[in-house]
Amino acid sequence: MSDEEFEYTDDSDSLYSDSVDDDNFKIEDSLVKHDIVQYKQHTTREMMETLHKKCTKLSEVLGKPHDYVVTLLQSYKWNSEKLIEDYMDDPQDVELRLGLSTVKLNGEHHENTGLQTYTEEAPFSCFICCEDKLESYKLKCGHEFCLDCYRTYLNEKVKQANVIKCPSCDVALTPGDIDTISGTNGSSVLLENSIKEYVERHKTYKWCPSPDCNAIVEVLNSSDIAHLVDTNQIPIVICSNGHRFCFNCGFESHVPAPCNVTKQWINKCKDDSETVKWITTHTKTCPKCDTSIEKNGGCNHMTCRKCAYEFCWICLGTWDNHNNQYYQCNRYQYEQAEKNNKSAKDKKLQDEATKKSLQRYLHYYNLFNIHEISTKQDKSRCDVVENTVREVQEGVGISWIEAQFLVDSASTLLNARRVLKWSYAVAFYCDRGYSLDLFETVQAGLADAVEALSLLFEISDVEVIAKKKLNFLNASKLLEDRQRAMVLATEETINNGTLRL
Amino acid sequence: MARFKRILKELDDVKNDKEASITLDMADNELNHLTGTFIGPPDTPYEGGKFVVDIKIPNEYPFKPPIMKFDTKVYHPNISSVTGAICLDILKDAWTPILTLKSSLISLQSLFQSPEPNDPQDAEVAKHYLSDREGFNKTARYWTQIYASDNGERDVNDAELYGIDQETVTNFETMGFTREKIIEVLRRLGLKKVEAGEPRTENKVIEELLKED
Repeated sequence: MSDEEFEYTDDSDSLYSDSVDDDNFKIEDSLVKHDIVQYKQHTTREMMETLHKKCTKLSEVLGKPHDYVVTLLQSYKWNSEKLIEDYMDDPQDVELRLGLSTVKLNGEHHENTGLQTYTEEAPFSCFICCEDKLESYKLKCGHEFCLDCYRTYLNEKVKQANVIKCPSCDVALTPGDIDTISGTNGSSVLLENSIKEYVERHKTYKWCPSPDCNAIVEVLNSSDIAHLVDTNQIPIVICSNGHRFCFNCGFESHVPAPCNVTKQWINKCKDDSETVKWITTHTKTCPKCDTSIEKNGGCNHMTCRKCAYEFCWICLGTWDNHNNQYYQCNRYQYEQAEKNNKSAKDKKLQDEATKKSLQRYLHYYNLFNIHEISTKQDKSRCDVVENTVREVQEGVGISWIEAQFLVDSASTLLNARRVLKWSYAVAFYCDRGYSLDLFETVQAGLADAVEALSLLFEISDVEVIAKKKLNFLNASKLLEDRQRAMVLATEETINNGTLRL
Repeated sequence: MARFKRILKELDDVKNDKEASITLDMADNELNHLTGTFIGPPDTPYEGGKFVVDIKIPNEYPFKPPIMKFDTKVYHPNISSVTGAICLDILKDAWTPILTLKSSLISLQSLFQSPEPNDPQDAEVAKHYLSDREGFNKTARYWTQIYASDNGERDVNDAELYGIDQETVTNFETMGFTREKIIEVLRRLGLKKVEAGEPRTENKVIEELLKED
């Protein structure tokens, strides 16, 4: 170890000991301050149970069957307060509006509802497919369609997560109807989609962004999240499958880069890719929730699927203004045009500056990208680390607990490489100067330690692995220290005000 | 091929209904490409016109709505004056499999009777409809005569076609601008009429007219 490195390690340690006790918890936490974000982990199943419990409770309050309440709540997007309010006001109005009325329809009363069977001699002629069928389903409104058509209809409707209505009128299908028709648990698929909508509409919930992970995180003090983000702290949460992500960005943990740096960096990186070219030419982002929206019809009155915000495709303003004082957005904006004219002159000067900044950007992007790829490679190795542990156990004859250092080292490596990766994004937005020099020195130290531990994982001989246990432990310890130093150096940079966005 | 049976039945239904002012035929001998027509409803600017609708049937029909657009040019807030695209809820989210091609065409017919300018397809036309109903009716009637009448296309008066005031055009013509240019600029600025007492608007138009070439 060179003198230089030694110096800085000492330095970082003293810095560190000021703020956090040197105990065993994860290093990222020093910046994350876990106790600030209070959250609960959920799985989809748990969410489903929660919603079912909500229904059971409400069904006692309202004195109505469970099925009936599920449909009610689904129509109210699970806003039970609003439902109870409306229901107490005028239950019949709610029932009529939602197609759940138990009052006789049109004065007719259809006794024989549900599944119907027919014979070859006198089959059922379905209006939808115009064919003769032996099985059909009839709702209490008396409208009857063949099972095949009903199933196709349901498959199409289940995706939309709304309450399903009779194809012919406003009578709602209860979960019982849906299950009988689909012959499976179609209603739970609907409920699952409904949960998706519930999670997406409520700011206190977020899906874990890891691929194939269905876990949900619920933040208990959501109002604090905005404050955390404003003060450059990162609201990291961990889902029930152990994936770390930033609750604000809905993105993998990006420690040490603050959320605003991350957002800018990601947008910048995306600008180059083909997909983004497509997205920018074909989609606009919802002015309210930033979801990308593709317009696939002619109508310019857009409704965001995610947040239900209604806006105008042309001017991206709220649709409310478009009703009577008609369409200002088609008017040619003179002032704007003059501005554009002026800026054309500045453009040449800009172009040269752009070239320079592009080179700088590419430098950091390459580094970022290299570590992104390496993270994937590390990850695939760490995914099989349990196997390695078993091999080491069997090959060398040590106990399971003694071989756990491999698992710990693997997770340290993954975390540290992610921190290293994101530190390049921070560096890109730093002003040149002493502060950046310092930052990059710490960064180099971290990169060095990451590669050292990564190299140890290259060893495939189990006996050598067992012999090198101490090297693993030392490399991990060093890496943790340097990761901590990196996080602190980033904090320092941000506090210095040398970050330019 | 359940949908073909249904489409055949729908074709039959329309043929057997002599009362309705609607036709439905195969476009190129294929069951997934049809042509529908209907007559413009009385007491509307579309009266006396025959409107042709191009209908494409998706594979998922009748569980997904047919894709309809006007082949005849129509001046209507909910129909694109350029492409013939239609903004109608039952052809989108509100479609259900019990609706038919016939009922869709009837819905289009009633859309002619009661336009929905607050949910427009063609913003320009909708603005015209809301700000100057009389002018709108005149233009819509003119379009019906030119594009939807049997006596075919006669000499098209471009000012009338875009609902632009004849006097305004003449006024600018006396200043020495060509008729073509005047109409182009007025359309671009979204103006139908420039009153004599509006020097600011007039200057804006002249400025634009001079900018060209």
